[in-house]
Amino acid sequence: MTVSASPARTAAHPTPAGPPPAAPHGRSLKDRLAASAFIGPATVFVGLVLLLPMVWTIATSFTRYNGVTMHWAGLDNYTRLLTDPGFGQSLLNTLLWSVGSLVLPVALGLLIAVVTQGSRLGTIARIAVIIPYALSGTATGVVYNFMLRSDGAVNQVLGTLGLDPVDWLLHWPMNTVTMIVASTWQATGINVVLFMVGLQTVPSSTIEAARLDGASGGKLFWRVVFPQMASSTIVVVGMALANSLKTFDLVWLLTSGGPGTASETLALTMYRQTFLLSRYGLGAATAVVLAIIVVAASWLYLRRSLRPEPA
Amino acid sequence: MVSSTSPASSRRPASRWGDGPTLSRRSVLAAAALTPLAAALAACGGTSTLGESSSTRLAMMNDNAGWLAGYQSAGEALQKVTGYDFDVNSIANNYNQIVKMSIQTRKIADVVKWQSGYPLTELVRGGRLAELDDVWDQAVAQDRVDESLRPFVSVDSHVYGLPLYKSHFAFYYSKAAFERFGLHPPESYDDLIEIAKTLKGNGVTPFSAQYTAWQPMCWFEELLTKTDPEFYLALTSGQAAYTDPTLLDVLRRWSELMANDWFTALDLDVASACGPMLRDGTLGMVPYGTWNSGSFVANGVEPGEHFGLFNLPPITRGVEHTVIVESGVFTLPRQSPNHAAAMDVIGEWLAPSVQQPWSDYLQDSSANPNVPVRNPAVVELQEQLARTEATPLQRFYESSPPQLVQTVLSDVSAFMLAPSRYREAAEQMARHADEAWTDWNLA
Amino acid sequence: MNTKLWTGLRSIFLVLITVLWLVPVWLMVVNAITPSAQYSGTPTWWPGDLGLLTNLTEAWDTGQMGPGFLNSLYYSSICAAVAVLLAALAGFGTVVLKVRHKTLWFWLIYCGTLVPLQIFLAPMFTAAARSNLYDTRLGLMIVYVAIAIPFAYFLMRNFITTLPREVFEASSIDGAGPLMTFLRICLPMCRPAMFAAFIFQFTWAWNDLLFGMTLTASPQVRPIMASLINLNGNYSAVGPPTVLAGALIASVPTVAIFFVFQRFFVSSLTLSK
Repeated sequence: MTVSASPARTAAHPTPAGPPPAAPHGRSLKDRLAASAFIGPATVFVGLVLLLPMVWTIATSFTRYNGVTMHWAGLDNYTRLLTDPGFGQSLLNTLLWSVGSLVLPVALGLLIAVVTQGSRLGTIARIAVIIPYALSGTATGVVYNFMLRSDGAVNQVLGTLGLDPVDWLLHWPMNTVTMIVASTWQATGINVVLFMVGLQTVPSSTIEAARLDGASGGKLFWRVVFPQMASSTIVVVGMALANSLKTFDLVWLLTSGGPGTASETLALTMYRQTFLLSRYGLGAATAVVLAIIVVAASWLYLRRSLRPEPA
Repeated sequence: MVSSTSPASSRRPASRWGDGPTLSRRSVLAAAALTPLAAALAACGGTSTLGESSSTRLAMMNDNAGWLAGYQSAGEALQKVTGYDFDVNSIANNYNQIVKMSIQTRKIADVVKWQSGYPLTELVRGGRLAELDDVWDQAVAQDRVDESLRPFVSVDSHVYGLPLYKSHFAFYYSKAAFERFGLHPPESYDDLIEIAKTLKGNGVTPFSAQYTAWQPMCWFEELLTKTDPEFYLALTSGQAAYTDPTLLDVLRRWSELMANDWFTALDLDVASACGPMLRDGTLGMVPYGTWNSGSFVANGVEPGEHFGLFNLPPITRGVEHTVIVESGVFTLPRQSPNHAAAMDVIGEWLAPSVQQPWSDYLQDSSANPNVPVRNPAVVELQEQLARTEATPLQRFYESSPPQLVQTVLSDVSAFMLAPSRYREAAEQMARHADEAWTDWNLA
Repeated sequence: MNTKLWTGLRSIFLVLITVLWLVPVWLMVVNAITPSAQYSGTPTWWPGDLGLLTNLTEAWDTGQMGPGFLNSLYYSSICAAVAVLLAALAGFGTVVLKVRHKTLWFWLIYCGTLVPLQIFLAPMFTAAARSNLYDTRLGLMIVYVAIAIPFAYFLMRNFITTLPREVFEASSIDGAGPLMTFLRICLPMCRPAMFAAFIFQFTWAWNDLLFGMTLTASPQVRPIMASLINLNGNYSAVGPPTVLAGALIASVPTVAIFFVFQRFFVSSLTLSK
């Protein structure tokens, strides 16, 4: 049967279709119309509402614009940005965030998704981990402030244990590290859910067969189950990569990028320049630089899984 | 190889999905039921009022939803006089940005809350605000506004804003702590230091301070204006540099205060956390806007009973008494749908019958000097200001271009966490101030 | 591996995870219960007097949360449903149908999720104001649908690639057109992913503050988070207990949805057997 290799192969390389044996949907005009009816609506929405403003942003990055008057500025914004000492700091923080977010919430998410399978305690733990994802940023901000302030809950606990309080948010790099750990609380839940969807797509017969072949425990997981979850892993890592590079909310809520601009990420730098300083051009240039970084990182990661399968 | 078992496995997923949905089908139904219900409910809500004309309500935009009840009671009073009420739209985030963007369209409120000083100038530059010279002159003729506020609300000698309130920045002090140790509000800067020492010696934190957002301004402007008010005016108008020895002196004095460990943790949320601490006598003094009284009261902290207010005496001997004043304003966008009506109505905003409920709500002083304030702590402050003939100075926030204020305050916040490096901080401020002035003059 | 030891370690890990994750939730609930007048300025660990009802009422009234709640229910459910459907269509189109430049289409749609949303504020606001969509339900919903599509598409597309290709071919050989194949074969198989995508997008739209705040002004159009932030704004007149009480109200639908769907996420797959 030609079907035999399908699940394992498509899961490991979830590529767009290789040419099927009997080309069922050929490329007649009618088929093209059908295809555009499927792809069209989503593309139109994204194109008009998201891509068009991006074009506007790119154009603005070459101007000096304060919200009222606009002048052509050439590459001034980019040179101003790259010579600003704050930019390097902001870039460094952004990279710290993406490394931290790839390590903590993704790895923990996978571990929790796997370990919580099939036990009552596991179900409770899973609910506990998922709840924070459902909470709003406002709630999270207030709670984190409660936890991490100098007189907050974490230092209260340290105090009862006879330990010295820690300035969690007042100094760099401690504040950035603290916030990355704190973000794990909220970000892990979604990864658990996605990994669980992935686990569900693994056919139980595959596992049974592997067990018959003598695989078990870690070996069974890494050799058999994990490769079959590739489509989930790609989504989780892809999203974690993009989201961490765009980190904004938590930093804004906890330190507003401070003290000074020490804990700013690129998204915050962009926001401050655009909305607090009305330097739209400079903010747009930051946005463009950030967008290039995110697109490049995502492309490097995703291109392998998107490459058309050799026929 | 696992795939050797595939003939079965390739069909297994399908059947798993096939028999799985017994649970999820119910969820689909739940989701499907939710949607039209929500749609039906939401349809009852009516639609926006921005950009629509009305013969009974003026759309008003402001950045403080906490004041809704106050706007409503003032609006009711306004309606009795003019037939017009406020339809309040509160926008707590990105307010400045939203106003600047929407003022260029017709989707703008008839009355827009704004700040005085440089932020007002910035908005006027866009050319969309109505001049309020006649309204102002009439209010002055009716003795409804303090003429000394005029420069704060004018751009190029035309009035563009009508004062919304007249707040001060001053020191809240804990009645409990002061009474316990027999302390009185300071008559001089030396008194303040003595008070701080007494409090600290008795385990009470003398001062609050917060490093986030605009909060560094509270201490910055107090120390600056009380050291040298003339220099403050020169510095904020770009006539003096941030590397000036006077500013370095101010920062050094501040760093010395901090070296004494006289402050609360710098990440304390002053507005919400300090009220209870003043009430309980665990914190001595809080330099902050008098408009926060209402928030303290809402949390069970009462003026007169739990806290009083004083203005910091001059730090430098022989310098005149000054006080920081903040006055938000109402502005009238020319393109708003009910602009003509708004022009007719807004003059009555300062009428005593409208200002009394408003001032009672705010627990703060009205811009109409004939409206008595009922907050005993503010009364105490007003008496001190009258006794010392304190000259009003505009708040730092309104005294320089917005870009300068934002960047310099961010540098002040960095300074607060590394006070010994005040020289570097000052250089940083100077660099950012130059940038901001260049931007401001180019615009 | 020693099964008993493994089970023991696993239980310890699960308890630890549960406690760590629930402590902040506990603090949130306990402090929302604390009466505003008894709030001391620092977090409370144990409930004293019960002030929850007062705090809830104050949050509800001060924040004008009633209309916001209904608006958000409307926005989140409709926008998430529409976005997931459009994403499923596009996913089917770019995986199953024969289309040229599949990778290009993928990036075209997916890159909508790659840039920080804040950069859309200024251009979107201007566009909304010029087209009379500012401060209208429709305007906000168009934006929510568009923002929800890229991630939903990423999810749907990746899920569809794991489906056995043969069933689509079989359907096509049986003479069904693309639409029939999509409705009869693809949609039923995609249910798990569609649920996941719906829940994520519902939650996202429900918790969105940025656009709700920027593209609306009047209480009649406002989503719930914009009402909530009013409680926690710059000059908020209510204390943290009331803000938390408001946050509790605002979290009910999203938490409920996760609870309802929790059973759906529970798989029968067990690795420990």
